[in-house]
Amino acid sequence: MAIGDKSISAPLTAIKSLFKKPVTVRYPDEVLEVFPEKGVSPRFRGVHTNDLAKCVGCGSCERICPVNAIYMELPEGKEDVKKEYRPVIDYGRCCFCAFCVDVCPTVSLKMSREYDFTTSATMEMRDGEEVKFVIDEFMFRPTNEREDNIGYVTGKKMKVLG
Amino acid sequence: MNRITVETLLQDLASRGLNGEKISEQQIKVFASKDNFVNHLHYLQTIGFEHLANINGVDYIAENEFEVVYQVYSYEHKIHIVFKVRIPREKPVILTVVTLWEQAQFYEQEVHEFYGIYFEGNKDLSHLFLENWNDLPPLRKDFNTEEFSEKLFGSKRHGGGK
Amino acid sequence: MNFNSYSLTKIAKEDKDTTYDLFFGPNHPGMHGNFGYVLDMVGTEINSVRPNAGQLHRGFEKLMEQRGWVQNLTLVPRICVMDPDPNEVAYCMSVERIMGVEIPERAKYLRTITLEMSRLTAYLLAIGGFGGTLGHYTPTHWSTADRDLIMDMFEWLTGGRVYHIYNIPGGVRSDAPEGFFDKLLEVMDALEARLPDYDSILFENPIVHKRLKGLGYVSKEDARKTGLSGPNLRASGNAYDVRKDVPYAAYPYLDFEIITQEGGDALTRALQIRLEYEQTINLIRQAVKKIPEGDVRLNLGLLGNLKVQAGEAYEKVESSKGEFGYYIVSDGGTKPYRVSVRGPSLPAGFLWAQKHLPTMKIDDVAAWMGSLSICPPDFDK
Repeated sequence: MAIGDKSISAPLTAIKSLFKKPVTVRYPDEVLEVFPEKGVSPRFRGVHTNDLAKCVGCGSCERICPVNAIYMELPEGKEDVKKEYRPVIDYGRCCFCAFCVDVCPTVSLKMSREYDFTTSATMEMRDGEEVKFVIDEFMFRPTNEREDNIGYVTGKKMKVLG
Repeated sequence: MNRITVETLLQDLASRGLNGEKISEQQIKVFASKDNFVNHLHYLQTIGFEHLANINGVDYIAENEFEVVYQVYSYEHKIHIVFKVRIPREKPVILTVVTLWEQAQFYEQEVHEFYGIYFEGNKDLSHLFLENWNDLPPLRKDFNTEEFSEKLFGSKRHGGGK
Repeated sequence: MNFNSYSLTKIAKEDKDTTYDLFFGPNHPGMHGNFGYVLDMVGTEINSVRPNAGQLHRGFEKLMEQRGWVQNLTLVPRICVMDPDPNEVAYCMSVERIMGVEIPERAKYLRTITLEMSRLTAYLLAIGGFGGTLGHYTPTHWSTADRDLIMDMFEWLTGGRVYHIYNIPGGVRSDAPEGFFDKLLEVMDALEARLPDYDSILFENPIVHKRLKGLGYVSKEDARKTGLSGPNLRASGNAYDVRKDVPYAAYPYLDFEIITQEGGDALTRALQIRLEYEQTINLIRQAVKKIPEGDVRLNLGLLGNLKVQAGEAYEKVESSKGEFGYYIVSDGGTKPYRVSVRGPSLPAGFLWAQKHLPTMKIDDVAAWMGSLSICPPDFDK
């Protein structure tokens, strides 16, 4: 029988999928087991992580960012020189393309495998006020805290844009 | 019909008064004048260039000219022609090719919408995409997007760090 | 089919006041994206149609004139959500053509593999779409689950699931991780083993045959003249495929035949997708087998401030819907002077809607759209 010939009984084969296991992964009780490590892909482009000691404040990430999500800002209590500036990322704008990771000359900026952005809203919001929890949760300076769960990174061999 | 190559096609077109240049083994660009380009397109159609892939405009503001580009391809000869027609930027009027290709109707509507070029003989040049638009046609180089969005959304800049 | 047998239409025809405008989309469940047809209806029959585009217009072409050559790569895949890679590849190929560079062999194969994987995801969505628009939701659920297998592979290779941003002028961004190709072949086996299931519930289903047969007929000549491309063109008996005719990436090294069918109706186009799905699996297997070792990217200097010499090129890529073309003009600067995108859906979505929809029943509109693979983002760009 050629492909696409009519058959009255053929649709009944769908019944057999009643006896199959569901394909859904019930996150966060279950995690994906597709990749060599559990959870999302080892190259996942998630929330940034930045090795603040290695970062030289060159601003390459700020310049390449296609959506202007990265701002170089001076951390508190630092001398106002260019090399002390560190990137602050606005996750309301970030499109997770990882070009900033690719251009980083010292490979200090990386992306982690964390992607959970859910957060609880507070009732302190008022009309016309800048929404505080948005600023705290979606605009921050990436630090070393996610360094143990690194996803997308460009190694020396795979250096892309530099 | 013999299979023609890029070289023989360029010679053939040169004998008809059309200057062309080779871009690759399967692609050429041709410069036509606005007075008789429809005849040339009709000739191309009769020798096998029956696929009109797109019509688009380019705004050469420094030369004070618009360019209307017809992307024509031959399934038979496997050659793509970038067919370029220059028209002045003041009073941009060009003949329609709807009689040759039916789908040109919509491409011409689009070019009219985004460049303000009039297609003589096209009965319906209404807007396809932009509703209630009475500003400058937006793909012209002198259309200032920043000014436009400030006018529309107010001058407050969004984003920009903490 | 005799439309007068529908009593609603019959009653409506007798009463002069019962014609009405029906807004099919943008929020109709049968509509593929933020687009709509304003249908002038008599009962259940369509009198005339007016496409109502613009609700998805994001001004991509203008935006691309204001971003750097590499920055634009985050923008181009968003022109087609189902099948994003052809956009990236066509954009990169155009830039490479202007620069006059040839990418390494391994990068060509990696591009081919991602293009074909992307085609699989789009075909699975199309199969699900056929089911959904005909009120038969089982294939929709199945194909969503199967599509996820390929999305996982994309996640492993590129780090992103939907928008991969994997291609870059000069090659691809990273080499395949260890063990990727073995896993990919396993996924291909799993997908191929699923095909008989899809055949039996969808492609051999007598109800699907009855609904799709004769719907939206496009003749061989008309398909060529009106700019249809891809599976729609081949389902009307034209043996044209950009992968064969204007070879790009690694397609010249792979062995495949152009699949054509005579028929030109919605059922033929559905079967075309089914047949090409099998061919795509075969192409991925071949590419994985033949992939050479080597670099995956040319060194073009600092890509962040890449400058492309003045010039222009039109490069096209065969997507799951047809020909995606990028016409790029460069004036030698760090930004494109003009990028014009040729999407495959416009001839079907505008021109064939005017030809086909009048006298069609309202129930068939969604299935007709699915069969011509009309994807509004690529003309409403």
